[in-house]
Amino acid sequence: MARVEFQSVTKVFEGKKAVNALDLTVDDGEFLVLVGPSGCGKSTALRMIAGLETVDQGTILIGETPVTNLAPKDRDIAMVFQTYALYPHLSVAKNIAFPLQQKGIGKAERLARAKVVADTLGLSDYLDRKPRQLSGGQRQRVALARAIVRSPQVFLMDEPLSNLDASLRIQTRSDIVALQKNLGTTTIYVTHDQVEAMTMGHRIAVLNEGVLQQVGKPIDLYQRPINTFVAAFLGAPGMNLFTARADNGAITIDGATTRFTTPGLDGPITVGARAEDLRLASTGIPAHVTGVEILGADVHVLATTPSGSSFTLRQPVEAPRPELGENVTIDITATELPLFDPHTGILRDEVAR
Amino acid sequence: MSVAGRRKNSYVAYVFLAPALILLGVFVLYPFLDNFKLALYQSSPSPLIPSTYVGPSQFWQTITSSTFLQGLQATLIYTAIVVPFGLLFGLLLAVLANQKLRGMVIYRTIFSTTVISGVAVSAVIFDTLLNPVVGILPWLGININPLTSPTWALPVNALIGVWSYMGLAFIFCLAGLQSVDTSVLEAAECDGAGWWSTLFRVTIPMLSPTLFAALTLGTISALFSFGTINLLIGANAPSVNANVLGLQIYNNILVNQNFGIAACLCIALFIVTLIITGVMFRFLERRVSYAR
Ligand SMILES: Nc1ncnc2c1ncn2[C@@H]1O[C@H](COP(=O)(O)OP(=O)(O)OP(=O)(O)O)[C@@H](O)[C@H]1O
Ligand SMILES: [Mg+2]
Repeated sequence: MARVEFQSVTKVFEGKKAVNALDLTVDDGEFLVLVGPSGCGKSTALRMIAGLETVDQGTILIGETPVTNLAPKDRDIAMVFQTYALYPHLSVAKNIAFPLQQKGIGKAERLARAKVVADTLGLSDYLDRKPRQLSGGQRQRVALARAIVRSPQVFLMDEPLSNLDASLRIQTRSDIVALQKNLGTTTIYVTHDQVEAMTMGHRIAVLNEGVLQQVGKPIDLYQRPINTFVAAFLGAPGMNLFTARADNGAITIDGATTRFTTPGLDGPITVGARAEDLRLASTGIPAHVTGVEILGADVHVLATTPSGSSFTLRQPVEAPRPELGENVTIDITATELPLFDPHTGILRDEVAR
Repeated sequence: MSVAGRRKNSYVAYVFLAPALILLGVFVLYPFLDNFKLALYQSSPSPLIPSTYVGPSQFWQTITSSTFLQGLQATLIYTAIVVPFGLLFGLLLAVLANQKLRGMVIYRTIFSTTVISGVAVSAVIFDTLLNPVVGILPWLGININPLTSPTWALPVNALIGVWSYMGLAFIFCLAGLQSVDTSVLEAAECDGAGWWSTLFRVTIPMLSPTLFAALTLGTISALFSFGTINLLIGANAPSVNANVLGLQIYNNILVNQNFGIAACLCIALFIVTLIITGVMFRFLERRVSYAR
């Protein structure tokens, strides 16, 4: 086990920085989730740790060792791929034993060790099957078993659940968390799934266009996102952002006065509010309903203010629902709202109360 | 659908199949069967006199003759050199050409050109290269003409065969490699496998269906080939131990016009091919792992 450290790591693809001066430390035994929109450089960052992608600038350390120029096989990492990447010509047992074979461990011992790991993952009945004879979930577990079997320093996982169906994904999600907790192996997990990001890791690192935006505990990022990107990206749905004005401390959104004030603030400002902090009211911010999504217990009302801020409001299914196309007014129920600079999108120190 | 309806549909299917079946029948099946008839007749020295029925004895005489046995030996030696080495070099080149390097397209093109250069072209190239005066051999200090040497004539022609089959094997293997999921190879790298280990334990097994197809096709075409031997050695082939069966068939048809013997040789070569490919299917195909 070991910590993993990026020291201003940059990767350039065809003149474009896929990963831009990344500084990030993953602690020993930590489960870090790397999230960001598609194409933001998550996989590239992960593959640089594995050594599958070269580093253009900067250094990567695993433990105390700079690994930037080491071959993947000399880094003592195990990777779990989105497509599972099992060896199609080998049985489950031999797939799991493959990393041990590469270490020169004898046949009897490596198959015995593969069997132990297969047992813990519920694969004992499939040891002699070929990967093509397994379901997606079983293949995923073989891939996990193959990663675990040799007790590497670091687990690297690139969207390992994205090919599974919804219920299996939830199941495997908690399996992976439990497994990581038991083994205590440093794990870096790439996903673009909001729920996986919020629920699985000790910390989340949010990446956008190759640039690290924020690192921290999931709840901290959820409650105090460092900029409008993180605010809108994290959570399902993301934080609503309203273009607003402050006049002598009093905040108005689309001409509607709110009960929120920030002493000493004047001029344009961006106000953030979570979907659960909004409700329909008889007076308040005017909006036009553009969609109503009934999710079960909750209903999402999608709406747009006259000035063009789109937002999502969450209400219980029992509450009266507006019609599509209806004009409504909404109230913000939170006690405190984060404020963002309207130009840079960076979180302001002061809040609106 | 009712049984009657289905039968009606199968008539329609035969109507659509008819053109292909007729072509196959006229150009493949009829000549194939007619060949067995030809083998029973002794060709006359002149096309004006009809050939005479001699029965299966002609076949037994042909395949027990020393000419045939020497030809069979030459054919097997030729094939045993061309196929394994051609496949090995083709595979190695394909593995190299599959790497992400600058200008790889140019190398890929060069490696695959041996396929499109026909037999005559490769014969001219090697005739020049092997020429005892202007070729490369004197320059290397070798002062024999391999094409007139009973020891070297056949191996040298087999080398030309390796050269041209290599390009085909290269294209096969490269196509196979490109359809290999790269993340599997990356997984092998992460799992601690080095270059050779990945090649032998992952790449080649995953390529096995491709390799088997290239092996079978290469073997069949090597067993029948005679083009460069005919062009580079010609009538001297028997005296330099290079009288492969393909060449004997060719000479019996076009030079001696002895169709009966040619037909017997064809049947013999057909049986040899059947046995060899049969053995390959029996013992190698089971090691092939088809991904799906
Ligand atoms: N081999 C490559 N050659 C050229 N560009 C590449 C290569 N690999 C990635 N890129 C580019 O680098 C950027 C980051 O890619 P990366 O695969 O890391 O994104 P990602 O965050 O993993 O996205 P996703 O969620 O869709 O998997 C993208 O713009 C992509 O087009
Ligand atoms: Mg990715």
